[in-house]
Amino acid sequence: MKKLYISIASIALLSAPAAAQSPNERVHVLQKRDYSVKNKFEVSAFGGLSIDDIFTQHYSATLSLDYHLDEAFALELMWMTCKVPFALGDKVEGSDPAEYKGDNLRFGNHYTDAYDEVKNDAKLSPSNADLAMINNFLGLSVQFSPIYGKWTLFNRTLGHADFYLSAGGGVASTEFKNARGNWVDTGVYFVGTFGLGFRIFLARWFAIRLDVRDFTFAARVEREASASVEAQVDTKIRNTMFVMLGVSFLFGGEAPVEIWSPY
Amino acid sequence: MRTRRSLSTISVLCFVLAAPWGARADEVVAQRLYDLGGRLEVMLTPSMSTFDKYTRHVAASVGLAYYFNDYIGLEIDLGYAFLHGDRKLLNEILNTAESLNPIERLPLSDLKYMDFWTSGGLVFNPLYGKINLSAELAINFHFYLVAGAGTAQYKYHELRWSGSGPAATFEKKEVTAGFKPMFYYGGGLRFHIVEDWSLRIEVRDQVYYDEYKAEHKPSGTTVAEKTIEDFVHITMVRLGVCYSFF
Repeated sequence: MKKLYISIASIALLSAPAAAQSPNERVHVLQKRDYSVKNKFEVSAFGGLSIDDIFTQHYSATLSLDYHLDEAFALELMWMTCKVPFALGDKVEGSDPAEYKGDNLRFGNHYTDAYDEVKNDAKLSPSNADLAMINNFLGLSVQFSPIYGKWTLFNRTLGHADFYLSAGGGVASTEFKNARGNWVDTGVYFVGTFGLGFRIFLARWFAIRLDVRDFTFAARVEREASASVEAQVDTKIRNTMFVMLGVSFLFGGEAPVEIWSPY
Repeated sequence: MRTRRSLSTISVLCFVLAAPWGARADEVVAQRLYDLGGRLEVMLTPSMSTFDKYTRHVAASVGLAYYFNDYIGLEIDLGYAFLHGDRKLLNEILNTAESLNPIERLPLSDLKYMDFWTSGGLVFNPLYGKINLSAELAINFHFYLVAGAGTAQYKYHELRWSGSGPAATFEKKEVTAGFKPMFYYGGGLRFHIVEDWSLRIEVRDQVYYDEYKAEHKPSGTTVAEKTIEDFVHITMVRLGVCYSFF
């Protein structure tokens, strides 16, 4: 994961042009900046999946509300869910800590083929902390959009997009499925988020967004005693990276101003 | 595999959705500065694997590419992973295993890593654009896709056991699986810095079909052979520096 961050930082640095900040934000380098977001509200809905966990696979539904302070900065409130909120399922009688059944409630939480392979074929046991999954996340983040771009496909038509970075935090509820196939609550954690993405403007009120976001939390999960191992607590920093594809609706704001530029 | 399938679907979807089908047909990016047609270029590309299950690589490669026009080119690539081996995660689950002895060949897919590779393929540049990065200069870029085939030397670890019972310990022994055919696909962005120099950032999945005779314990302490047939994926993030001669 650290390597990925280093790569992203390197790319950002290497792709930076000579840093000459314009004193006037209204002067855009690219001529005919058709899509302005300043003072706009943006409501987005995403479908997503986790991409970097070996043993867990999340499918998520996400809603977000952004307020664009200016062309470069926005505040974002996000709710992401992989499970019906607050519903726990049927409690397994006599279980302590409490175990629940109800895979249908956890519509977005699954274990991968690699987990089945490790558990069933190799008879190996990953750390329980590696098996904890995010159920629901609610968080705030700051979005910074330093890049606005245009492109042409086969030199025929023109498209517009802006690229952004986001960082923030929030809380997430987590669970894991134990060896008996029951779900065990593993607590609510503070989660840090970091991400990047772009929005492709199809109209001044409508855009498509692709977002890659990493959710980091310190999972702390109890491991039951077995014949040869005493009960213990597995602790691990977990990074779960989601790729999310969605649509955005933009409201309010101002019409863009066209200013000539040589580029 | 499910994730990779889903990601491929998302990539295709993004590409289709990114097509500016709502835009006016007579309007293209103004003052297009860079054209790849007729260029011969050399590349030096550091890379590292990112989404692999149990293996890790840090590598460097050199490449040569020729572009027939702005859209299509051919490339060859010769690389070496100077750091390669198992991820910490695999070592962790092996070290906490309770009943692994005496399995030598682990019944897991995606165990193999590569050191040398050579490959060649097509580069397809459908998209050209400009971005501004809160500054007075526009950066010109190409979005490109690559696909091709080649050969790579794969290795993996087997376990060698000593002692018996709960006190048994293992050592890892590196085994060479030999040079195997592989194919690759990927995509990335080329940022044009000046006329002759550009940077390529790319994600490339190198895939090889593996049939691997492993061992497992179907019940109790009995060890049986198990054949694992799977595609071994090594997904690299590559950052290439390119220089064009013409």
